[in-house]
Amino acid sequence: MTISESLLKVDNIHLTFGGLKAIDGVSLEVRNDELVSLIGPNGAGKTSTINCICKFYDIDSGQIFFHGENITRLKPHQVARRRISRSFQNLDLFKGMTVLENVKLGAHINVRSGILADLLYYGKSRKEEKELEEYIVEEIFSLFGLAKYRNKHVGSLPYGLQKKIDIARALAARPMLLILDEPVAGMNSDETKEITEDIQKIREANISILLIEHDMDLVMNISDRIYVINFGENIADGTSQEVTANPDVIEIYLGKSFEN
Amino acid sequence: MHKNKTVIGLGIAVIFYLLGPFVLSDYMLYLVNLAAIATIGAVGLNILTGYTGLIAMANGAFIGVGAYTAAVLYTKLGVPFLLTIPIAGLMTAVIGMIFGIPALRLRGFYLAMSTLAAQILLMFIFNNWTSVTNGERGIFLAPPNLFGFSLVGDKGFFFLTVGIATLGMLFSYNLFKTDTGRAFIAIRDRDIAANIIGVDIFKYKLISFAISSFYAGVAGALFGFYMTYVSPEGFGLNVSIDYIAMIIVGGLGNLWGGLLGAIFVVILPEFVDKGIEIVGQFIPMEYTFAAFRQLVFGLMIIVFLVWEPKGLAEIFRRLFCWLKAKIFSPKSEMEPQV
Amino acid sequence: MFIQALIAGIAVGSVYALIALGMVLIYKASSVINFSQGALVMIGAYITYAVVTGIPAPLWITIPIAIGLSALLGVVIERLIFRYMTGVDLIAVIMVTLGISFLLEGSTTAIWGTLNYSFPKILPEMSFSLGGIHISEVYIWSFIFSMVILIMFTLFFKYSKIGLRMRAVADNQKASISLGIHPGKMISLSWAISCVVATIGGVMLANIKLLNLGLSGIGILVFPVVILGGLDSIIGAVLGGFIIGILGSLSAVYAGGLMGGAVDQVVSFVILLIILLVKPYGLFGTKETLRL
Repeated sequence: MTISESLLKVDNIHLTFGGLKAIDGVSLEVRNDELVSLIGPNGAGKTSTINCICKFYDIDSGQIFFHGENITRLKPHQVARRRISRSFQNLDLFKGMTVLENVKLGAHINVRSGILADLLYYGKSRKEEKELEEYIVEEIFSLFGLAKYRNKHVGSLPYGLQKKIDIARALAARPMLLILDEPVAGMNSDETKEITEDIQKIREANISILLIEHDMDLVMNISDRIYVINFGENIADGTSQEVTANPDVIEIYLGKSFEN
Repeated sequence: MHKNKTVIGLGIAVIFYLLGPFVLSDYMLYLVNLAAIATIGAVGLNILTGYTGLIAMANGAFIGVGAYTAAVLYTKLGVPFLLTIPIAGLMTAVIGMIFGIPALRLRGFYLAMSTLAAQILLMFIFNNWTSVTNGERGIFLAPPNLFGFSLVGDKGFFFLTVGIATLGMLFSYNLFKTDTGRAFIAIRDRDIAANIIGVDIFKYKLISFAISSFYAGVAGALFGFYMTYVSPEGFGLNVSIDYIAMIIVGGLGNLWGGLLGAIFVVILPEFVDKGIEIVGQFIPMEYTFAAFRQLVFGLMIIVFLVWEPKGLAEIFRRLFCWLKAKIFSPKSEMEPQV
Repeated sequence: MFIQALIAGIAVGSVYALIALGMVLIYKASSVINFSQGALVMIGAYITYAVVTGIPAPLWITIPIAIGLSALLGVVIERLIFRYMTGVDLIAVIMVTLGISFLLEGSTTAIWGTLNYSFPKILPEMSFSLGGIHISEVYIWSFIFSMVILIMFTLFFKYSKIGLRMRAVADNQKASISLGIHPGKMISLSWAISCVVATIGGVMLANIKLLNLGLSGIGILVFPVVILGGLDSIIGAVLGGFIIGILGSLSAVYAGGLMGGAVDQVVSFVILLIILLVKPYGLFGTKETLRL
């Protein structure tokens, strides 16, 4: 695969909520092995955009392609099966399950054994469960340092840890594209540093990333390319140098510098 | 140490299973049989309501579907007894899935209402499809043969009901060790997130309905054969509500919840009756057993939900922890578990 | 026959409307779905019966006493149980209201037994003939009473201070606290009103039929009514009540012989199922919105 090959292509999408325009023609592209950031002021339509990609919202017009396939009309679980995973801004972990179980469910799309095998816990089901556990403990828990919390219920863990579990869960699906929705929001500088390192490690595993983040240092440091949107429209895109030099972007962010 | 305990536990269970019918009185066996059948139904309902978070008010009618299926197959079509039980389960699974279809769009109370409609409609069918169900007169079942022995009375059924109840619990235990079970819990906890992770919510809701109804169907078939009689009365809304009470009192989304709740609901009336007998000796009171059963039942449900929403399973867990701490190692901490 | 069934349907429907109103009220105030509405109807009728026949005083004294006792029952239920049940699962809430149902039905049976009582005629005699068709006076009185109460309700919520506060709590509990409104008191009040309305419905039903334990059976018919009208809509409860009442009455007359008993129940629940599949939030209900 060459670096220029397109993985995700969002083409001029529109979304309205009861007459209110949330997204008014956003386009963006993520290529193989790229880390692309999507930034913009609060209410610019960043999270709405990724909710459209995940099909939580049905877009009014425009198209979304993944690996050349038109995924505009798919259901959320079908999008997941195309190997697009995401983390959530407002922690959406499953409170009734342990850390291990949460991350295991992240790998749901890869599980092949059927219901009957699960009821009997025999043969394929047992084997697959063992393999899944090994994979998670060795590849994912070691990356995030979660091994010692594996049997804790997620509700009892601190916020920073829950954020990590959320990313770990998204990663368990072995995605081609990982969408991270504000992974360091509400974290202190140490935690931010840890997550930044984790994101770098994820990149090394050849996973493309679409990142939404308010932390400009983080965005400018690790992004290959950046898209800036405001009021549901594209404002600018390019490398961090190009974007920071763009007068429209400066105008948006000058007034906003107090916020971040 | 851990292994030893498991072995001891299993040993006690096996001894109870083999010796039970010869040690217990017929009346005790009767209660055990009823509790075992109720356990099958309650463990099934717990999969749907406790683990998947779908409130179903039709478990009574689903049990009825199983009972009628087995009764009709056995009496009218001459299908062998043992074969009627899984067929009853499958039939009920299909009916359960059909009434689970509204789950595509409905959640919470609205889904509960569609299952309430299922309860009412199925009862109407039991009462009025007389060519099959005999209507209010019901269907009588001759005692079945099992491996050449006539299965009659409390002793004979003990092995069957307790055996199947144990299997039912084992399957449920397995289910929640694996992906299907996790998908159920994910739908209960946060269905949108589950969907985005890749869980086909509608499919898994239907599967949950199917599995739960299969349990109900098996429980119904056993109930019919054990009672030797199937009529609409046994499957009304009150039965559905009893089952919801079982899993709530026992513990929602807890493997032991179904068992403990079933035992509780089956033996509570016995305790109330005994209590009234004793009190009645000292205070002359005009009473009806039914009234006090209902009164105490209602009171217990309220007390449980206000005082210990996690049910008997949680109370027993804490009790065990406490006993363990007292007996084995006074210093060991209670294991926090949610 | 059609006219007679229609009139009976309107009368019964107006009682359904009243009872559904009580349910909607509690739901709006506290998101509690009350499965004990039927039991409240029953026990309200028994309480009234006991007061009216037990206290040797004229009706204008005894009826307010019965109403007061019903309101008290509502407050007690809220204070003793629902105050302690915030933030619990829907199924726990439903089950607790079912538990209340059992408790009330069990207590009623323990006190009054399973006999039928004929309710003293507390409504003034009135005979009515319309184009040669005799209309039973209880029907007319039920209709009039229901209408009066429904109008009072509408006025109460629109114009009275307490009514406005209750609406504030129903709209947004947190915001209403910051305005100095005590949500607990308002929820208590909604239970009290709901119980009073149920009692009135129970008395009218006991006048139409007999006073017995079967009265609580009406509770289940409230669900088709609120699903049809919308769980959080007062106007929906009223309209739904009439529609279900009329359809139930007509189907009992025209299809009753065909299909055996309890046809009205089956018809109502078929309607419920259709509504759920076509328009789940009913004619006037508010749609739930999902958020991520």
